[in-house]
Amino acid sequence: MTPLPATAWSTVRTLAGVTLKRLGRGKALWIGAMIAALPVVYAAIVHAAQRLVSPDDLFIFLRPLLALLPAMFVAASIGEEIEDRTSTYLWSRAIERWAVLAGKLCALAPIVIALIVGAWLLSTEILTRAAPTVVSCVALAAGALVASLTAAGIATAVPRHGMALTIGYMLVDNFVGVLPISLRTISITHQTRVLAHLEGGPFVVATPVIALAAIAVVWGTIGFVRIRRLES
Amino acid sequence: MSAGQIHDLGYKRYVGTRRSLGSRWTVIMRHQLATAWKTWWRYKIWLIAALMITAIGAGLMYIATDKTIQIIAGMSGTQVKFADGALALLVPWYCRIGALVAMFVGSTLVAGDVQSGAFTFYFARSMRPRDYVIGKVAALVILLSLILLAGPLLLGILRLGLCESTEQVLEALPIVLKALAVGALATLTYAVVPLGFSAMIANRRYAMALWAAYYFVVGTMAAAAGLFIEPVIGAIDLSTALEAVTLRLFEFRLIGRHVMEIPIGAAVASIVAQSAIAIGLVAWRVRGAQHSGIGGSS
Amino acid sequence: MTDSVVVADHCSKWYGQVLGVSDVSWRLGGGVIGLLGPNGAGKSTLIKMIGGLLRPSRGTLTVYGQNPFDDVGVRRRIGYAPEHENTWDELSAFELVSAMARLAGVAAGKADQAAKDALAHMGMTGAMYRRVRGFSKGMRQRTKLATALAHDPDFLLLDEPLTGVDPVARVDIIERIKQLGAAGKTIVVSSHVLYEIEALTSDILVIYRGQVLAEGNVYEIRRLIDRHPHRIRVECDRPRTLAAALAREDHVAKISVERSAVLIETIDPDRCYEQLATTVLAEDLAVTALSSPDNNLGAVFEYLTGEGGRR
Repeated sequence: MTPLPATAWSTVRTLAGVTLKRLGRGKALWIGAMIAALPVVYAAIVHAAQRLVSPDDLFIFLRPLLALLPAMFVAASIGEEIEDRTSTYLWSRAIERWAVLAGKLCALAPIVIALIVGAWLLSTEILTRAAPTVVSCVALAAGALVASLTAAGIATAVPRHGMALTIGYMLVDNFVGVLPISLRTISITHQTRVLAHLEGGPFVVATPVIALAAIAVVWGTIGFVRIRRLES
Repeated sequence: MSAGQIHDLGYKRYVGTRRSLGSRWTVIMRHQLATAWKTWWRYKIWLIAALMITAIGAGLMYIATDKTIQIIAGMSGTQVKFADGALALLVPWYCRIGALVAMFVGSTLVAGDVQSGAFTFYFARSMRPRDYVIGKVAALVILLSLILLAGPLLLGILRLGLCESTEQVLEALPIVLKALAVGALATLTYAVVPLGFSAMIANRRYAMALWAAYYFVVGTMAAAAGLFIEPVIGAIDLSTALEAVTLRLFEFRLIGRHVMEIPIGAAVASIVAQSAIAIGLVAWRVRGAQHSGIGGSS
Repeated sequence: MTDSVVVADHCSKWYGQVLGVSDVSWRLGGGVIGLLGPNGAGKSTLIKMIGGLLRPSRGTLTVYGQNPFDDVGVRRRIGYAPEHENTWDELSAFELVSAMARLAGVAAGKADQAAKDALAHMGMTGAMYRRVRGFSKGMRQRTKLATALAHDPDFLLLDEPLTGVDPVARVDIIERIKQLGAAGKTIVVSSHVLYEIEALTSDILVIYRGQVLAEGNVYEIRRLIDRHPHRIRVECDRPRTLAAALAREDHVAKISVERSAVLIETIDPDRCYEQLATTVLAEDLAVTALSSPDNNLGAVFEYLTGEGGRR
């Protein structure tokens, strides 16, 4: 007897499990961990040199991680699925297409968040001999999540070159984020930094939260709408 | 022993002239150029960005020829005219574009060939490893020289055009030579070093990530470490090393920046050493592919 | 509600400037169908549209009355094995097939057993816990077929299932496909290798340059190709006697005599066979072999497409 179509939740769960299993058996996790360890190495060097560096200065080295890790994990995973044509197995199954994207994000976004927040935790701990603030960790997690959704949106829009374009987009995002212009409102790295409250002064929550949420909604919508139309 | 026999099935062996072995690298080079030219985002858009930088720089040089730049000074503290200092200030921008081209094109070249199994085709023919390496490097040199060499050179020539007398032209002539030198060194840097990353791993996405991590994270770390440990460490960052060479050659210094403390010898040595390591990695990968790709080859 | 499994109505698909499938109208009732055509004919495009991976650019295509691209429910009844051999290589065959079964709607608790059964059916029990990365082409093909079978679909779409498979495995896979057809499943098998399709079925759909060239039973199609006389080869002890007796007949278009055989080209094979029997008895000929070299798929394909079907 032919079974009922897979429920969305079971699709998400199955795909997330498969994605994590494949990730664990591949090189991506090691390379990602190596990249995430770079700010920690820098913090150790600074500490050994007995220099004082503020957390805000340390954040300079977390910004490239926001560009690279979501691209490496999320965009690359979606791009490889389509480029290697393994997506034909997925599209021919009785599953909702948006659940495929959701499954990948459920598996990969936490990895990205863990690597970035972990790098921040360790490097701040080494540098200041104290744990970073909870607010800064939550801000970085939010920034990593939004960057992952952005990577997903870009990768479904341009599957073959999603990773490269995501890195390019996030580098431009980094650059715009440091400019003293209003355009930086739509910069993920700028809003993450504001939310992390690294500079001191009044704690602004509403603007960065709204901006990050809006960016997430835009790219998330692009991703989930586009994946429904992708042909193999 | 039975006599051998060849059956004429209509196939005629090619009897025309054959390209010499030493020119096989041009085939690789032309193919690579065609591939890079195919899509907009891979190369063309960055070339346009470089042209825009050149145009903006040229425009500002023309409009503000005799105005002075506050952030840049001569070696003895003298004020620097915009027309003289613009080129040195714009080199880091060309380098950023060069780094992006290196990421989108250079860092995936060898890894892409390994991943797709292209070496099997290359070494089933009379292609030597050096033909492959030279062809790839030549293609990248051409692509990057259009950005990193042509731009500064044009600005240097424009600088000559802004001179008001023959004496000024002769005085300003070294600017063109310095622009050529900086452009050539930058071209070498961004053509060769990413190839090394491309050869390190047999997956073009990871190779791209490694190059990006090295350039944007390790480079920034080295530049920052150079500030408080030893300036020479800053030379590990390719963009800092190129900036140091540029400012030394043009005899300028950036006010408030410490990049000038990096000796020019250390900067050049860092670039050359990294390029040599990169070539070594490519040679290692290609030799390995030659021996394993087509099975049984000694 | 339609009785047909697949209904294509003036269905076309193009990729930019390239036409994949052009104005195809076709109904598939059931059974095992061979989808034939040279490389680039549009076989994979048609199969992908049936499987819900592509949308027609024009026209409609329904499977069990529903649009397979948009309808999730109808895809649960389809098992699709693509032509490419890329899979999730990091997984073992068992993990891959089990995941595919779960994605096809098999409950988590039953997916593992379904995967084992499908792999056993394809002769992969011994290697099921090995990673797909280390598989040979034949093992990959079997694993692919197992992913299509694991959820027990009613309708199988097999795109070039025998590509790269060794001769022994080929025979085995063909046998298994025939068993599935005998069990009542509707199967569409695409190939450009004619003898593979011949071994599986005599019902074909011939695609050429994106269009349906012919459909139905191969022998019926052959009968319809009346511009090509039928060839009959008779091996006997006195071929010249036989040739002389038949040369007078008006349905014989051409006769050629070999050392111990006669090759007859006739526009009316039924009459020819009748007269052959009469002549053999009358002349007391000893016939050692009788065959029709072109009453097969290769000849039909060649006549239809005008190019070597062996290419």
